[in-house]
Amino acid sequence: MRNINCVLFLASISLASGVYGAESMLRTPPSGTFEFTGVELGQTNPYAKIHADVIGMNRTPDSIQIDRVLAREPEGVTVKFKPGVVVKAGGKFDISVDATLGFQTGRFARYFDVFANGKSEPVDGFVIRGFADWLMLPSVSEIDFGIFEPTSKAVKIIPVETRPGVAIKLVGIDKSSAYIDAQVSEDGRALKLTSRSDAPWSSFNEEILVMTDNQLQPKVAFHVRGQSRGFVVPSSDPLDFGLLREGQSAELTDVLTDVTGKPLKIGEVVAKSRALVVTTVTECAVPSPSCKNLKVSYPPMNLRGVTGGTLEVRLPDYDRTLFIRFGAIGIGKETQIRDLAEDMKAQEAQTKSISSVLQTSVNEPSVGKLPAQMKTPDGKGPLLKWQVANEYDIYGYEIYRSVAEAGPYSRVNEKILERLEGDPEAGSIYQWRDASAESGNTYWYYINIVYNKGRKQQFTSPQKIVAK
Amino acid sequence: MKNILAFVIAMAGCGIAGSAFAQTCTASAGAIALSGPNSLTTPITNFDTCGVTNQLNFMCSSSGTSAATDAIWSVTLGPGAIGGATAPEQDFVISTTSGTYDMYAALMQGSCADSSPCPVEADSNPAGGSETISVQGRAAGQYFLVVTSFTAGQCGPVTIAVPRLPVALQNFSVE
Repeated sequence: MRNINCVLFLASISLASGVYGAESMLRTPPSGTFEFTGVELGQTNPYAKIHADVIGMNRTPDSIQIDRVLAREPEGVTVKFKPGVVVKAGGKFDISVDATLGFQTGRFARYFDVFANGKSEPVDGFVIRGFADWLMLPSVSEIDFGIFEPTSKAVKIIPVETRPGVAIKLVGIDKSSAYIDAQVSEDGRALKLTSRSDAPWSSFNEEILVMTDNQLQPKVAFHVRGQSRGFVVPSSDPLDFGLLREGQSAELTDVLTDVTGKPLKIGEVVAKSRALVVTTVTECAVPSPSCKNLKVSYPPMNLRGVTGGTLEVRLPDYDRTLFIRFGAIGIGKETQIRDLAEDMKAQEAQTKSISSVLQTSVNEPSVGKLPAQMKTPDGKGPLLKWQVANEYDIYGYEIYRSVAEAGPYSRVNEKILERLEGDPEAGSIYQWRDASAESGNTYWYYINIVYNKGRKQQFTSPQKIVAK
Repeated sequence: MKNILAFVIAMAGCGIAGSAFAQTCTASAGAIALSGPNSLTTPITNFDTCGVTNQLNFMCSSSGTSAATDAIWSVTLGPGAIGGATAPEQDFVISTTSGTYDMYAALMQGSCADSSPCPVEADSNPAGGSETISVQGRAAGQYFLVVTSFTAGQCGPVTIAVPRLPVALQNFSVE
């Protein structure tokens, strides 16, 4: 029996005055120069075309000449406005935005920067937000394919979840993966994933896009992560350097092993990342022909934020490339990193101290916060009422109806009923009337929760009513 | 040049008996490793992000760069979750009392990169709204919880809590 340990060498942490490389520091704009309206789009679907008519009002006492309005994610986005328009104090200007959404479901945000004439930095910016409501979703948001060897075959079947009452099927693959073969099941209700024998040797985090037969949501994204392990295996993937302070350098060593026992030859090693790291190949601590150390060195950190990327290690004997992810988060010399567990202890101590004082001085129950309440909708038809507490991360609610308890059910509210603004812990009282119900008919209703990220969950059991 | 050398050898306990393959060091199940009583009314922490500076320029989001102040917490996910490994304890809820603070939150690791996104990001709500970081399904290990904004100059008071109580139906009727 063999044990191979993950060995990380974190070495040569050095504080140095040198500055390494150069990186342009893009900036986000200050807020408040303009007041933007028309930025909340409401509900749409994944891959839908969106349009926003945004109006910016100059809140400063000076006139501002607008030069550019740029999307931070410009692919597929069209921004129209009158170039050179001068917006007086209190005046307004119009921006028209057209874009196509991606695969994401739930709340989305698109950022835009506004530049004044002659200025290289934006004077302000706005965010277009909305909610992409899905008709079909993989049954799991992220598929863990696990570790597989390209010489063997691993298979997973991923069923899809569809909105009850909606006709939608998977019909074909739009974007495949170098690691996984995807195949739509005969009934269009599942995706069969099979590992590829020619998969690159690396961990992966892939997005497979599958077409549907419903134009309201023409594609579904399946996110698959896993690791394809070939004959040469790194001891660590990813190589996580954690946080590196400005001026601090670090080195990690990944031990590469040819598991067939053959002598291991390492060719060129290419690092593709924002930070310019240095790599060297050396013999292992316990020399073995099938073992090599790959040292990865971060020069003195001069970036702030995410810096990582991928190492591409050429393996000439196999005519293959081994991919290893790596990275560090660059922070300032004085940046304070708080410990959440310690903060919690301090908060608890403070809370105990306050409550003991209150116990001795005040003997009255605290007044609870009241739930937000929706007014009763006018009209005829069954009236559904429900009260909810702890509404954190809730986007809204769906109402499903059937003529039989066992179903089939379909959604009767055209748009998701959005959560009421108020204290999420105190919750809300909702009312919704089914104006489409026919008098004398028997109906069953249940409520679904919709979370901000788009996930949905049945919230109530069905309730019966005979429509008056 | 002044060099202070610190040599640390971390023997990460990732041995795999009976296998010729090494494994990655982040493979076991994760949960929020904080102990003690906690609820939405007893937050983990209250913190004013106006008290810190801009630390991170390149965020893990495709929305790119941030020039707002960044508050960073180190957090360990692993055994010892509050109340057990049930769904409601798998969220950090970050809220603010400032109606003008448009927060963005992320759970980051060093290995985040353009090609390898942050494990979790949250940018659901406009100014004044709360954000939720779900750690359900995340591997055990050390992460960094970052609270910032994509709009320069923005900051405000934030509360981080781990909800003990899931969303609850109090009554439902059809009339």
